[in-house]
Amino acid sequence: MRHKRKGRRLGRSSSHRVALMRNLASALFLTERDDLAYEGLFQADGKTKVNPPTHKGRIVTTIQKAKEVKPLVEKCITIACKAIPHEREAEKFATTAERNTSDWKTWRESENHAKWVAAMAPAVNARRRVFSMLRDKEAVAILFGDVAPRFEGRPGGYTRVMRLAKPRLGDNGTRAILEFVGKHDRVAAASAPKPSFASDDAPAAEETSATEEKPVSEEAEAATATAEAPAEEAAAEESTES
Amino acid sequence: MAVPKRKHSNARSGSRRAHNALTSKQLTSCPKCSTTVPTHVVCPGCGYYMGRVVMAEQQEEAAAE
Ligand SMILES: [Zn+2]
Repeated sequence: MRHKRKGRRLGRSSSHRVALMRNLASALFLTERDDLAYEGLFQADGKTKVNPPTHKGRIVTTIQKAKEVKPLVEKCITIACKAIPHEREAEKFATTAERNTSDWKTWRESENHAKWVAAMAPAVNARRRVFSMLRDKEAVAILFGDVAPRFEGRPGGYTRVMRLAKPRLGDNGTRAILEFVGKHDRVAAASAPKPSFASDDAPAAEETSATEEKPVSEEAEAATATAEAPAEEAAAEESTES
Repeated sequence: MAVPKRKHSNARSGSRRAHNALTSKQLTSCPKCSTTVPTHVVCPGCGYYMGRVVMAEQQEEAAAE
């Protein structure tokens, strides 16, 4: 029976698989790293420079690994999104003073500090939960500072997987892109200018073209009118991909 | 030891392999650049996928390396 068996084993032992998923998820978050972080970084040979990724928020891996790591990435983002309101709440009791200055010390003794600690607790907990999944401090910092605020209020579907045409050279594995939604989204086709029906004596050929255009423009308008369009689009994509 | 009693005919081999045929990949043409591409993939020629370009040509090459 297949009860409770889910996911792919990917030819790895349990610990190897967990490590792989952590590395993949962290790698995706780390692509959002600032370009300056790559200054002075060298490959193992000590001469070749490490270049920043050509696309931020995107990794290329096999389709199986991409589909497998997607839920982990999304869970991390969801936890981080839930921490944002708490961080905002804690801002009220925070101080702008530098650490160990006299101002900071008075704040530290004050009631505000206790309130700040209490308000920050859920956010700190969220950070620790994500860290336990990723085990990468830089990735967690990028997630909470950069990625999560972009997805606040979005009900899941933060990433997309797209197949690539060319397989891997070594083992003919199907490659795929795993990326955050938000960039490279489908754009609604620019709505064609509405045909004017003022002149009824227009040629028949023009009339047929106008009726053909009509549904397209309506669709485009609907897409721009609803704020939920990106979410729908992501859902539509997922259904076609998986 | 078990030994074959009869010659294994060519027809027997052939009928065993009757269901071993491979199916070719479903191909379509890219709506943007008209190259022949497998379905449901990012176009390797122009990076077009589902209504937008997700990958410029050079970057596809870079990713392939
Ligand atoms: Zn194309």
